[in-house]
Amino acid sequence: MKNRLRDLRGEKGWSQARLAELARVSRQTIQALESGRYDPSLPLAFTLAKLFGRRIEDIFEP
Amino acid sequence: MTELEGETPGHARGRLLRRARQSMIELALGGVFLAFVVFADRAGSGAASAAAVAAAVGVLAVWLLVYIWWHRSFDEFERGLELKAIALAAGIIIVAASGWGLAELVLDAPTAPIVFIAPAFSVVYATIRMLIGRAYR
Repeated sequence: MKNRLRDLRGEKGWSQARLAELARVSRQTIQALESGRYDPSLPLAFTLAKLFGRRIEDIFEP
Repeated sequence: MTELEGETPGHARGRLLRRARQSMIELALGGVFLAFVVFADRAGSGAASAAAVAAAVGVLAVWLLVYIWWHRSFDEFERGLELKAIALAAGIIIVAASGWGLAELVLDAPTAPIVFIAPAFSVVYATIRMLIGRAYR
């Protein structure tokens, strides 16, 4: 699944570590999400959407 | 050593050390358990043997608690990696144990006590965990 996490994180000026802290996951998880090697669970997708103030479908696309 | 975005070499080293430490704890628990089992076997049927068996059971209990503690401390992605490592290790051990059992039955291979399955799993799991960790670092 493709996603816009890296771009959105850049817009916010957050590091991977900062996003990981806010989403309560490891930085390795953020790295795996951004590189498209891991698709998040629905709860994590909602958490990320809330953090960026977007809808899930604005961040992730099949 | 691969550094994640915005990560200093020191942090990257610390991250890898943390992962290596988990594998070391896993191997250490397997080694201690094995040592108590071997000691109990050689000590015969006296009080020393009984104490070694009790200690081995204690190590198994600690082992289980460590697994639970690790499992609870991981996020969903890390937990997925751990479960993958556990599934692979369990599969390898089951196939190996069954293969050896077949060799015992058909080829008169020496009997391998089933108690060695736990430390064998420990070694295989620690190895797979390190390999998977490297693939997803």
